[in-house]
Amino acid sequence: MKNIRWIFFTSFRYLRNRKATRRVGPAALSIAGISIGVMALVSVLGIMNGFQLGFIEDIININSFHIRVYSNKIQPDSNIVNLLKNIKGIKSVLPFMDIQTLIKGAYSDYEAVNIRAIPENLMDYDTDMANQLNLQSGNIELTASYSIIIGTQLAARLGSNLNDNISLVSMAGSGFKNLKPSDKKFYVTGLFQSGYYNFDRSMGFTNINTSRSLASGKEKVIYGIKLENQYRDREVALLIKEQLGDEYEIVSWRDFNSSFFGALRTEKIAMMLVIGLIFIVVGVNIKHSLERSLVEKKDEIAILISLGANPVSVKIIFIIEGFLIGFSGAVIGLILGLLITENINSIFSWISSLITYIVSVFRLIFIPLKGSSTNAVSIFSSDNFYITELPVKIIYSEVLLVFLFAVLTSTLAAYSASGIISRYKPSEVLRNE
Amino acid sequence: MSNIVIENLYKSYNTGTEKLLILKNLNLTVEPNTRVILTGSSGSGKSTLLNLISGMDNISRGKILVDNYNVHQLDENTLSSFRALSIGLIFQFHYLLKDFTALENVMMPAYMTGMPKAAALAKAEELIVEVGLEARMNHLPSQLSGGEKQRIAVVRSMINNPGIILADEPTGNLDEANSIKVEEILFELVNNHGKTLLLVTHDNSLATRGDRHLKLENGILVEL
Repeated sequence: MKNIRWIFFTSFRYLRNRKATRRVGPAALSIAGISIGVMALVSVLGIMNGFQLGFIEDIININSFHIRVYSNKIQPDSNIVNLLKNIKGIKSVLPFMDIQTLIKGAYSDYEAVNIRAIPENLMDYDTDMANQLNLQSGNIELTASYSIIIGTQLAARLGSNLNDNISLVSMAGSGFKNLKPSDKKFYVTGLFQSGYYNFDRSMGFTNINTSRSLASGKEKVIYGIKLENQYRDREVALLIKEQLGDEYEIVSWRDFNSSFFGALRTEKIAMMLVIGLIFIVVGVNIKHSLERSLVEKKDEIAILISLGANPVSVKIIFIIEGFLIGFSGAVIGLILGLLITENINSIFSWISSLITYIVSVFRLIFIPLKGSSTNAVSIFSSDNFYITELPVKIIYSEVLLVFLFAVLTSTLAAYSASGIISRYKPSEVLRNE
Repeated sequence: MSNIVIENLYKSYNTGTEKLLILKNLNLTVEPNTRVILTGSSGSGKSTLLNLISGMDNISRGKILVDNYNVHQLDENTLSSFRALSIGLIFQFHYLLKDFTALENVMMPAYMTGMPKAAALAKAEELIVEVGLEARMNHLPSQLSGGEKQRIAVVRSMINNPGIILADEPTGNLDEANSIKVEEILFELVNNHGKTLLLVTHDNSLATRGDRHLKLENGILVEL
């Protein structure tokens, strides 16, 4: 388009001159609206991703693995472990057995627990899992007889600490009717805090060789597999099936967690839609603001057309204006959103300090004789929340999507508003002037 | 060399309750490089005729040929190009763009047609110098007097070197001194650049400056 330059020239001039006139109001409001929308979406998505990816990492690393291979054996088979390890794309293989039973501290009641029986040297098998468990005290190795690693929340519930004795219920006897419970003494050699409450509250890790007595006999060995690339699970599952045959059931992390991950996705989409409503409000605001601007500039539009401007070119002038409003707002919102997200914990800490200061000033003014000091306010106090700070994860593809959506909303609003130009008849406008 | 041919032209408006016939079977041929002065009472259809020639209003019946363009058969793109390149419009009110300087206002029609900005500015400057407003070319319309604005509007109509200038009471809003100045400049430019001029006015004294004097009476064109 040979004459596109004059369109940009005119559009930039109109936008620049808004600053020098009272028309800055609607434009500034539109830019502020877009900024707030983008800022809110970027911040909320960053925090939500922090939570969700934290959950997902905990679940995948500790519980579901990338691929689970279910055997019908009660003993781990080192040949299977080696065979799986040699398949391309597999990073680690951990044979384990899940046993549902009851646990009891020296002075506590029985609590339900999921015992994961694993080889004594976890670090040799699955370092990701060992790291994710985030051991608070003790040793990750289960070399001592009847040693157990439990979550910090479970330990608190049992009133137990490192090196304390605890009891696990063992069901023994021939046939279901003759099963009798008996306590097996274990002692706590490690305490972990993964950050995922359910695991910290109801999981324990024991040596697979000393845990057989806890099993009812129905529990079978599962091989938990971690992949180099978790998104190649279907491809690797096929290779495993080729190697092991139909005797083994293979379940990928997508299927194992489908309902929970599906819920997380739904939650995220719902949140995006709710916050995205801001863009609809802002879009309508921009449309009305530009329509008003077009009515104010009716005579100028007629002049441009009388000078030989194509009405489509005149429309583009105002669409560019809408685009520039959206772009400016999105850039400001993006910068603010990223700054807030990256510093959210400092911001909360600052707010906590401010509240503490305000409360202490009030105390000083209204109850000066009491003499009691003000406790520091903490928004994420460990007394009230399981977390002490907000996890944050910025996914730049999502940020880009938010940015583009904001710009698109504004541009579409301008496009819609520019329709009014087609209704102007230059001869009538100029005659009425 | 540009000419205007109007054949059997009718223009009517619907007011809602009645149909107003403004132009009745109007026929006119304007030879190239001719200065035609069109007078008539208010509401006689003088401005309407200029709007029809420039394609800014639609005809009811008939045909208008400008430089062999059948104006009312042109598509939107060609009509815009025609308006930019073949005719220059001057109105009673200056109609300068408020956000642009005098120089930018003059260069705008050339810039629209694809001329590089620097060339368009140079050409605009040349024309502004010709009407003695070089000291005012970087001023906004709000900083110019009425006469200066209209002189700028006159040179703007010439920037693309159109063959035909359509002027609709160009001195109608000015005091006598400014009217004379604008009038002088307009005729000087038309003569110097060899344009065809169709000028609508209430001022009968202007009629003597044209090659032809026409009058619109009850929708009919009369040669005086």
